[in-house]
Amino acid sequence: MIAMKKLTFSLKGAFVVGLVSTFGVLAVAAIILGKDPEGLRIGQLYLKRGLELDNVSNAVFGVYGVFRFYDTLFELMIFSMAVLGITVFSDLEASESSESAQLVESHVVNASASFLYPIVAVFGFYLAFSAHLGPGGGFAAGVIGGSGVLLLALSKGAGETGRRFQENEMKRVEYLALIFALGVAVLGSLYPGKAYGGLSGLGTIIAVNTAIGMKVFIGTWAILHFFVKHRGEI
Amino acid sequence: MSDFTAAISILIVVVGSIGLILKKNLLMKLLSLSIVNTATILFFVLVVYTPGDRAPIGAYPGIQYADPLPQALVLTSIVINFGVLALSLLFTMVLVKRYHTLDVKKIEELVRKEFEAEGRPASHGD
Repeated sequence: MIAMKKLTFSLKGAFVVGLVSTFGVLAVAAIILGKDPEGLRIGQLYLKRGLELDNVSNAVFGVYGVFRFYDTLFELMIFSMAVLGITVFSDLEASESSESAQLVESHVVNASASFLYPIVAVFGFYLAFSAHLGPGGGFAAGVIGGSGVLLLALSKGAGETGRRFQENEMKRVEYLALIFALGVAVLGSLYPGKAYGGLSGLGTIIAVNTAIGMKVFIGTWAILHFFVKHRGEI
Repeated sequence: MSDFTAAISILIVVVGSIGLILKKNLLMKLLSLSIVNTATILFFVLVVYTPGDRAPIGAYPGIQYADPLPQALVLTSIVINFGVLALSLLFTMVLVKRYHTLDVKKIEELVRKEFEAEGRPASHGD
């Protein structure tokens, strides 16, 4: 009986391995046979079209912020759905050990966190404001801002940091950022100039990047806060 | 891109997918999902890598720039993977809190027992 069970399991495993491997072999064959001798045409197209935009010199931002803004919009939607799920479940789950846990007292961490946090925050804003000119972007800015808040939570505690940042207000800002991105996408499809998808004016570009940065910052902070709360303290 | 490196990244995707299907531990499933995502990013990197490319910032004629499209796609992939991983970790935590196990088969059995105790038929069993 046991041997039979083992046999069926191995048969199922062999079937799965065979099926997935077949797909892998087909993918490799498609890559080898379907090679385009011209190569990289789409990328060159985006580089060339990026030249026609006046305000954008970072071609990666040109792709995700202007030409393929819908991609970014739906990415933001999926991300905010994940954050929404986490927020709802963290409200449902009673957090018993939220405030009772002890912070580890360390003067070095306290002093360096309060000294370093403004620098990290300013760097995040700089990346959000200058992403159309150089390396950076809203996503990187948001993650850097979230890391800065994590640094602050290391020294002050997650609950205190959440109160200081007025978490409930921040959740509204998150959805405002999403609505703003939606508005830009709608306006960009209504008035397509040189760029289809998003708008390419300088103010819009900076505002889009800041909105993406705020969105990712608040989402990252909400996820971090949930796991910190669940565990007790950092 | 050489075919050998592409084959390696596809191989990692295959390994991750097999783990995703066959592993019974939920955390191992999430780990396999992460492996698949990383291999996809590796594939994107290998697709556009050509030696001597410059970062696509500023457009001066005569300089060979890297392809900006996969870089934007990789940004999307990283953020989505972060969100999906966080949400599935949360669901795993909820399941563990309720059933005290990570094994998918055991969770399924416990759910079926709960259904039978309530007098409902176990809907679409497996």
